[in-house]
Amino acid sequence: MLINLIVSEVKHDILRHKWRYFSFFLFMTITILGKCFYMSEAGIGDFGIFGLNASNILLGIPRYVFYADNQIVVPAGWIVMLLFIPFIVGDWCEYELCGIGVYKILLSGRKNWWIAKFTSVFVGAIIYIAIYFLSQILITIILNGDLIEASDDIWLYNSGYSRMLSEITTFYLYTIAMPCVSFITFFVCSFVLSLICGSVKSFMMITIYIVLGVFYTSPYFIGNQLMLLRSTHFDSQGIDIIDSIFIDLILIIGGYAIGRSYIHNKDLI
Amino acid sequence: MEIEFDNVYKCIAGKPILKDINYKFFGGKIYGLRGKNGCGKTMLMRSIAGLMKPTNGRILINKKELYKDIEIPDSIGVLIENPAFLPEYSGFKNLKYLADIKNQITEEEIRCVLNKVGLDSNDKRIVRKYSLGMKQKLGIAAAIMEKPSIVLLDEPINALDESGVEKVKKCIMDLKEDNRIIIVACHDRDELNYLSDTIILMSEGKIIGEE
Repeated sequence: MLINLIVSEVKHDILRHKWRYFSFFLFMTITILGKCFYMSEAGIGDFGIFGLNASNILLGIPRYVFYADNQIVVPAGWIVMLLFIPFIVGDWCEYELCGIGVYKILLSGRKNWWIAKFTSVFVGAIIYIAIYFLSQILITIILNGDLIEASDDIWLYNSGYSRMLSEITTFYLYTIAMPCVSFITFFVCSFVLSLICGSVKSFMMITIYIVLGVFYTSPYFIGNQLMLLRSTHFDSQGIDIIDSIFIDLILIIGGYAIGRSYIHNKDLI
Repeated sequence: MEIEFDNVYKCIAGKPILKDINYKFFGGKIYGLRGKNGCGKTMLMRSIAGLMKPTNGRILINKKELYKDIEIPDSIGVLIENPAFLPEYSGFKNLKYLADIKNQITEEEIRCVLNKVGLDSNDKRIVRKYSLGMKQKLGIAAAIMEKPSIVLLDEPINALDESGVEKVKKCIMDLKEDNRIIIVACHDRDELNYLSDTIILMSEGKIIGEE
């Protein structure tokens, strides 16, 4: 029965949220494309520095790793994108537990329902990552590969950062693997938080958490790890991949356990 | 089939909702719950369904303690207040979605139960477009489709027209076979008298008598 429930939950959640996936795709593609065109028109930057890590890798463009200076710039656009996640998952459970979720719990039990729901949210996070990469590919195709590479001069002019070549493995780990794990963690934790506190309160708490992450480079603020999915520059001195992934795993397992206990004890009235 | 309430007490936000309930429900009978609004009828049903954990006391389903030996009764169908389904699916698709979890009944059986409660099983309209009465019928169909051993129906004839009431009454009467326990809460005294073998009177969270 558990397998049936998981398959059914994942399948139906994907079908029911197809418009959310589509809107996320549009949101990512349009904002990043818009940013690229804006920078191009203004003549102040290159097309490669905003959110094109994935396309760089997928299309085999040379990769670079940058050390950031201490300047703090609030990445408002990226924060808005991150806030899309709690917005997406905010009503996921709230809505279900007032209706069809109760029927599913009656048919399968609280524990099974939670396992199925958690799995479905996990799969949902992976789909959103896939959509992100898809939008990156589309942008790269639209903009043409040549435009992705910035000259050292433009880069220095634009950001004041110096550019260093780094090992390709490090690049993959830092800009793809770690932020993807952090993305899943963020997604799952947002879901659990909204289940417990309600969508509005959890949205506010996550907003504060993300903004705080801009000012404190700590693996506990996973928004920083997520940033690496966006930008080709990062401060490798500030983020440790082992610490980050370890904290991500703790948060995922903790989120599962907290949600499980909450669902187990919750009065569904 | 047997459900036993052993000194069940439930308190929510400091307010007692169920007070020292001691009662045994036996299979093959329809029990009617009668009482004023807020007297604890819905809470009693939710506690049987495993949706609400008692603060004190035990609920035994076939001698197995709920929340301890079992999480949820093995075979239960519930019509909850204002049943909510996936609004973007048709009635049939909603039931199919639920039926796929246990995979015990066929599509034909789902269609049959829909027709039985007075819904058209071929209706392609999505639930968002359903009237209140149609949603109520769908809720009843969801509760009874897998022929559960315990059926809890909270205000089953709410929002139904006359022919709907007759169909639902017939469905409930048909459920009596197979040693099922059926518990119905209803404000309509006549309908409750007609349906029930035993009427349980409730007031302020207590069972005060039976007829």
